This record gives sequence, structure tokens and C-alpha cells, in this order.
Amino acid sequence: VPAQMKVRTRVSRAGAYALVMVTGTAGAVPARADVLTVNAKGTIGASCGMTLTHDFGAVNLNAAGSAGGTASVTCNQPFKMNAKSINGSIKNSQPASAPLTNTVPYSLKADILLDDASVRTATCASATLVTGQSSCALSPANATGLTSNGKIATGKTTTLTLSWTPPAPPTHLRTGSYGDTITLTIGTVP
Amino acid sequence: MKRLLMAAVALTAMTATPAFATDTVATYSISGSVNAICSASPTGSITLGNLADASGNLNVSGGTASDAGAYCTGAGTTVAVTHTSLTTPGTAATGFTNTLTYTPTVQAGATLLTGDQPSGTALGSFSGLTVNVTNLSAGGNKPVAGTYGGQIVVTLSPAP
Repeated sequence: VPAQMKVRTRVSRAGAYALVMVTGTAGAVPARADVLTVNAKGTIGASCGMTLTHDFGAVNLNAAGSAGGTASVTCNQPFKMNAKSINGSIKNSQPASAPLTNTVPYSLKADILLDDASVRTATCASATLVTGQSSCALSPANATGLTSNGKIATGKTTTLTLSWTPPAPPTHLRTGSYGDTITLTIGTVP
Repeated sequence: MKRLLMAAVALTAMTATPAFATDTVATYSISGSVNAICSASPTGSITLGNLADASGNLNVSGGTASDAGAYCTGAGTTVAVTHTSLTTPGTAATGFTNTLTYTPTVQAGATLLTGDQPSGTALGSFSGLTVNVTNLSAGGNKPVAGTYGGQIVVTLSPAP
């Protein structure tokens, strides 16, 4: 029993001592910095965005020429680009029989500016840009596409250059309105 | 402590969102127009040679001039054709004539037009033009000696 009493006494003393120390720390001892480590872990998802900044607009088909278009590209991981043409040429909707024609073939050149100032370039004939075609880097069915070569782009300008030449005599363009629509697509590369 | 907990929650939410690849498109338009135009050699000639045989009778029935490079691109193109007879100066005695008549024909692409078309005839787009002198006639007379000249005027009016 005495032994038990002694223990109780010690416990009681220890408790009183601790109480004193806590009180003393709050009043006179300088604050001690506590270190709290928080481990933050996260993933930034792949994100690609493209904005048309300049359209081709109206062109003069009576003579050889070129027109430019631009897009602002932001892609935070390597990406690829493809292009699809509705008509495969600048085309008049009305039929034409030889020696007249209702199509003006063209070439489309894409210059993709990247963050490291390098430029990725491809030039494709319009006929290779219709659905199902894969023979050119920009062709819609080309799975590889025109790649950024492992680079990224942050608000960089991709420049498109469209070039055409009217048919050589005795072939001539029939009168009327001509047009085509090109859809540019970018996607991340796994 | 509350702030730390809230931050931790936010980070957890970010890491829970799956990464995904997004295709992005930009659609460009190209437009242009081709005006209705016609092109043809401004002049041409049909050389008929010696018109009479040894008996003095007309022995030539016609001739042709071609302009393979002529064309019109408009579907609304019209053509007018007029001509003047072949004549030579001077007065012809009875039984002779200094005027030779003929019928002009114009072949524009696949379209054949016979005779004058003074008010314009719908032609449409075509390529290749041939102008002919046909049915050359002295009216039963002998053509007088001389140099004969006449004209066929083909006027192409382009329209869309």
C-alpha cells in the first residue's frame, strides 16, 4: 500500500509540475516555431486549345495567288495537327464539262510555331485533305499528323498558307462562286 | 488548422479529376468568284483562193477559220453573228456578178449556229470557235475578176 501511495504522490507532483511549465511557457518563454509539413500532390491534365485568329476570306481565282490564315495554339503537352477539306479544292457547286472546270486545286502549308521557337512545317495538296485521305502529314486520316516533335506551344501562332494556280488553257474556270472549308484539328499526342 | 484542412481538400479534388486529351478545331473558309469572261482572237481570216474554174464559174463552196483558244466561261453568254457578202469593186455586166452570197455558220463548242444572229442567241459556256462560209453562191452568174472581200462579225457577250 505504501508503495502505491508513493506512486500516487509522484504522479500528483508530475502533474503539478507540468501545469507550472505550461503556464510559464505562455508567459515568459519565447515562442518556439512548429514545423508542419504538408505533402501536396496533383496532376495537371492535358489541355489543348486553338483559336482562329485570321481567316482566309475572299480570294481572286482568276490568277495564281496565295492567302494566309492564322490560329493561336496553346497545348501543354506534345500535340499533332490535321486538316480536313470539304471539297478537296476550291470548287463551284455547278457542274462543268471540259474544257471548262469547276475546281481550283490548291496546296495548304502549315507552319506551327512552338515555345522553343522551332517551327514544324508541312505542305499538302488539297486532294489529300479530304475525308479518308492519309497520304500527307496533314491528311485527316493520317494518324501521326503533323506533330509538334515533342514540343509544346503556349499562345503560339500557327500560320496557314493557301496557294493556287488557275487551270492552264485550254481548260478554263466556269463562271460563278467558288469555295471550300478547311477544318484544322489539334490533339494531344499520348 | 481549418485552413490547412481546406487546402488539403482542394488538392484532393484536383488530383481526382482525370487527365484527358481534348481535340480542338478551327474552321477556315475560302471563297472566291470567277467572272464571266470571253476570249477570242480579235481577227481571223478565211482564204478561199481562186473562186472560179477555167470556165469562169464559181467553183468554191465555202471555207473555215478556227480559233481553238476561244472560250466563254459564263452560262449566260450570248453570241451575235452578222455578215456581209463577198464583193469586189466595179460594175458587173449581165451574166456576171461582183457579189457572192453565202451563209455564215458559227460552231462554238458543241453549239452550231447557222445564219446571222443579229439580236444575240443564248450560247452558254464553251471552248473552241469555228467560223464557216457555207453555200457560197454567185447566183448563177460568173464572178467578175477581182479580189473579193467580206466580213463575218461574231460578238460574244459574257454573262454569268
